[in-house]
Amino acid sequence: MTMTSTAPERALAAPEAPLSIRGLTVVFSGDVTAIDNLSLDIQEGEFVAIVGPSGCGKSTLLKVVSGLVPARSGEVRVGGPAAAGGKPKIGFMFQRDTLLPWATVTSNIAVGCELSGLPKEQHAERIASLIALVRLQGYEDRYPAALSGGMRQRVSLARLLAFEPDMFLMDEPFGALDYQTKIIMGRELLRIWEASRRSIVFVTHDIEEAVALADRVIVMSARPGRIVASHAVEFERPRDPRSLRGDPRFGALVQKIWSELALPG
Amino acid sequence: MTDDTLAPPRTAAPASSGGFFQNLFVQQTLFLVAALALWEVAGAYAFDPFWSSRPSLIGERLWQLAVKGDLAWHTSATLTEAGLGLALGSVVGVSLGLLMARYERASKIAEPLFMGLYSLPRVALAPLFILWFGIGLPAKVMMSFSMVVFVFVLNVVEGVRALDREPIDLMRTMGASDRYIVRRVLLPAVLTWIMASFRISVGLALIGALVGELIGSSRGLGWYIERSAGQLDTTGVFTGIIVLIAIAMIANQIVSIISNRLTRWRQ
Repeated sequence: MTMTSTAPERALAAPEAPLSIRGLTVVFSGDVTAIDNLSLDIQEGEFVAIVGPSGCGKSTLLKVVSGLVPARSGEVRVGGPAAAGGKPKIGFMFQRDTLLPWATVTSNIAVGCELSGLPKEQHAERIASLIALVRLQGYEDRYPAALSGGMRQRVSLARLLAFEPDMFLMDEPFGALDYQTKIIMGRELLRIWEASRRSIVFVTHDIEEAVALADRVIVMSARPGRIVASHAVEFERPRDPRSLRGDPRFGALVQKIWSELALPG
Repeated sequence: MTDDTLAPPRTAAPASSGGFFQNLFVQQTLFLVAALALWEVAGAYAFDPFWSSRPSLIGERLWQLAVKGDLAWHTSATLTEAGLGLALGSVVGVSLGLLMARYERASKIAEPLFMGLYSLPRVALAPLFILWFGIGLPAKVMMSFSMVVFVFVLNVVEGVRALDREPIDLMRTMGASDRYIVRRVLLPAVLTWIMASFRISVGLALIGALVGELIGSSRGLGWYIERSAGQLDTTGVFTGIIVLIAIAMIANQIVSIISNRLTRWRQ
């Protein structure tokens, strides 16, 4: 097992990569360059974490990929074999749970089914299996206000899975949770992801979280956002993120990424 | 395991039950009875009941009116006027509110006129409505309507403005259509604001109906109060007022129950 640090820009990957970004530049009104000439490929079934200082454009990157924010120049191709023939389905998860407060747990997860195009008669079955998957049995008829932060993010995750996305974009999905819940949610995410193996782009400012979860950690610079480094994380799967933290190589990689973040002062 | 979902769903703790006199409802009832008793005694010994009447006289009058059918006759008139005004005001108000939220530029253009009408004490319109619609039902309905319609418009506009963008963005990335977002996000979100409008509007709709009746009518509780006052019949005036209080309280209660049921998610 080795950990390698590769050049900032990866060589051109296979054309069928589910996500391929070439020379992406994003400029906000007022001429603030959020992302500057960024290129990135995500492989099929790859779990990529992006870390960087606040305001480095990592959230913006996800918004561009999902189509919520327009690019100034460059190319973003979402596709790959998973989406062959159809429009690729992108599953976005925000830091806030963005559940509908007036809908029960079941009804919130149903949003994912409804937008996925699944025939209506199969909704109940998929929702029931997802509720079991995210361990929310007994809470089916609760409203979000009656759930803890961690449980609300589980509902969000179930809604996302109900949509059956070809690719997951996660913007600090556990960033608003307390430390302990965050660790638990990371473990849950890995358990679910290891079963389905869809590509994930996971944005976080928590370096340890990134190293514990991802196959590859990409380090971005402060604004304008550029890729500074890319690290393969080669701990075997399935992983237990908790026991990883005691591994000396884990600490070494976290230290290395810290030094690359080039924080001021 | 420290999983935060492993605890079974909790059930609500039973409400603590104090003694009989600790019960809020009992205390409220006792307070009301005491106030009425004080009124009764004061009316008998301290003041001339010509000015303040007495609960016993009012009760007797209520009974007479109920037996003769006058109570139902006048009450139904006022209820119909206020009810139709409220129904019309809510339908027009909600539609107009949604349109104004949708067409921002047009609503900005219309805003000064709109706010002018909103600021106008609507009572000033009563003579005009009598002139246009006569002293029958339509004038009172319009009076009621003019009282409540702005409440719905302003609340719906505010409700749309306060809409949480993130769930909408999320659904957009999942390919949701406009119709889907309206049905799943917009309408449920605005429903809370519509229910709040109903709570405010029940009283206003009654005011509209009453004002219409006081200015020109041949039946209704407002007409009964006005006529009683004209005959120096304070018991009649108080009887009308008591019936109005009862109507307003019952109507508020009904709106509260419906509203709580529709917004259960707020707990």
